[in-house]
Amino acid sequence: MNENVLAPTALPSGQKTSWLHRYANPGRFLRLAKPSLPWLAGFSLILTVTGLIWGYYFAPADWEQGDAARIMYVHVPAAWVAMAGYAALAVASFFSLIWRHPLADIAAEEIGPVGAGFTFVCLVSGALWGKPMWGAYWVWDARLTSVLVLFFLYLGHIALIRAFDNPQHGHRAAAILALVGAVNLPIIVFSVQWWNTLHQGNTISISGGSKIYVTMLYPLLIASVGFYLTFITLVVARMSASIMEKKTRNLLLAAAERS
Amino acid sequence: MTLFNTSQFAAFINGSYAVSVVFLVAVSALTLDRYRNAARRLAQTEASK
Repeated sequence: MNENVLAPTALPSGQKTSWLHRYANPGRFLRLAKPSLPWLAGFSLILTVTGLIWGYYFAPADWEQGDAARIMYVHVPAAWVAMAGYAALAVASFFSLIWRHPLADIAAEEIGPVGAGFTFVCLVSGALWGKPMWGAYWVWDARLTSVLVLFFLYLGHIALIRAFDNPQHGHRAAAILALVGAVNLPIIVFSVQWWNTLHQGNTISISGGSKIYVTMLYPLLIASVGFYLTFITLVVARMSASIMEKKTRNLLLAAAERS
Repeated sequence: MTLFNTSQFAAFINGSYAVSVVFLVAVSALTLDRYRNAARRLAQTEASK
């Protein structure tokens, strides 16, 4: 990576730049992220803990599934974050390929492992929900299989971005994989409509409203917002750490060249 | 603690929450550690310039 881009004033002075380029500057990102991180972490913790405790202890049992439906409060937020994370990865990859933003490369590199972790939680909690409801931990159902493909796409991206001696080659190859893999997102969302699946249909949709009662909906939404904020906090913290690591390396290299 | 020890689903509910909480705590701790180390090393390097 070009070391100049890590400087706070990386863009040529006097040159008129778009808002996108102004805020895609790693130095400026770091200055904005530092004061935001404690707030993000605090809200993430409060909402996640509230949502999970509400779902685990206080939400009513489902009339059909009984207490097993409580798994929903970890499974659904993890699934939503896994998909949103991949969408963010695809957007970062798009910016990386088209505009070669160094911040987009850093974002893509740091989103991958966090997104893979949330996808893993989704798959494991789904298997633990499937066993008592369906009698099997796993079935080759369209929804389950497409989420497993999402997990493999994340793993492929993590591996590919680190597979080249020249980091820029890794970022370009991984960006192409992320963009091609984005076709899996609508397949995940609509799999329960396009195919006959064992997995239940969408309970909550932006257009169709909610099919669950508010006593179950509220903890689900709070846990979901908590998971989203946790994802954002983790990615922002990892991106900040990555920028600081690169800055340290560049300073050490510059010092070694001088001596 | 097993809240749903009377439920036949207790192991599945507790298992799914345990996996989620362990993941969230572990990834948060690792991220915090990485962030603090990066900030400390950068501060040291800048101070020694």
